[in-house]
Amino acid sequence: MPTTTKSSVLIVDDEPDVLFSLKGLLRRDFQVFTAQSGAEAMEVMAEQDVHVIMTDQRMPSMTGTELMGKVRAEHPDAVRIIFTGYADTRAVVDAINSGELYRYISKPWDPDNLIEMLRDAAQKYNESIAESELLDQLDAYLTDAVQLASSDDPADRDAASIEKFKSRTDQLRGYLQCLRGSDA
Amino acid sequence: MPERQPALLVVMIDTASLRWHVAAIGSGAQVIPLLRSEDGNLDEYRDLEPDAQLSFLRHRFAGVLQRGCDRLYPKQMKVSHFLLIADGHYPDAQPDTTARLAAHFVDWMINPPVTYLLHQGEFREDSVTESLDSLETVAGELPETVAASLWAGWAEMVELLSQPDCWELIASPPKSIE
Repeated sequence: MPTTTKSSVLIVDDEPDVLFSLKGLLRRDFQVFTAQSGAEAMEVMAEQDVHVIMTDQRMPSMTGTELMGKVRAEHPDAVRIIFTGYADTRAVVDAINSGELYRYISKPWDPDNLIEMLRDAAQKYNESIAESELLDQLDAYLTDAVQLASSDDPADRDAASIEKFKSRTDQLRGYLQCLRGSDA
Repeated sequence: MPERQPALLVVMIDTASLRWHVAAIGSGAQVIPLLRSEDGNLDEYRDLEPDAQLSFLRHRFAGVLQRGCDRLYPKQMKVSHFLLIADGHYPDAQPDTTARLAAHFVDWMINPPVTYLLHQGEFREDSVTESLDSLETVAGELPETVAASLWAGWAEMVELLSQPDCWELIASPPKSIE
């Protein structure tokens, strides 16, 4: 599960005033990183724990869809969003159909709606991490639970072992709550 | 979510200088100058094929509208209607470029709605009368309330065009894949 209070968002656009404006809009709700190119974005992704990446489609050197292909390969958990000035249909439809995108949005968007969409994206990231952790830990947890229930060895039931097991149980419950939150 | 005051977002397009200004008209005909481009901000389309010209203009103006929305947000205002007003057709473009550009925005942007207007010649403080008969609607609807707000704010908005310091200058991006 992410440990930071605010979810982190990386905004990628080759126009500095767009980045400045979006940073001002989002910084109250998110930890915001910015990049002016696909290459710079990949550097930020390598150095920071980015939950959501949102990129302009039309940039010199590397398009938004090309960048999202790289992000998907190297940082598959990051939730990916492309924005563009108009229906740049072929590239964006290809990207959506190949599973590289969470959302495609066109300008102009309503700032309130953008914040809401990024909150949803951050929640999706949290759910994805929770699901992954749950699946990773559940098998070992159940094995240990059976062991604990059937063991005759008092050492398996001392206070420290019980406390450790409770802690693992709480952690798994936390993941479950995160996933159930999405159904509510 | 705070209650935001509705405002018209007006993009005034100068087809001789190929530049634009963005203003808001709020309640009580309050005119708020927001953004302006450099001269020649649009001129990249002139080197392109017809479809690419249209694509460039669509993309550029979508970005302009986005910036306008962003600038209104901290003022606790929200766009209720977009108005794109050009003072003529685009030089060196196909004759139907204006109509196709206008139709694109009207078709794709429903909420808030868009109206694309063609002004007869250079913008002047007195060039629009209450009847708005010097403005031709190229695409979209022009509700009476929107027309009344535009008329109420027109003279001040045009007067501000001659005061560059009132507007936030948006630097033109380097020529790109647009």
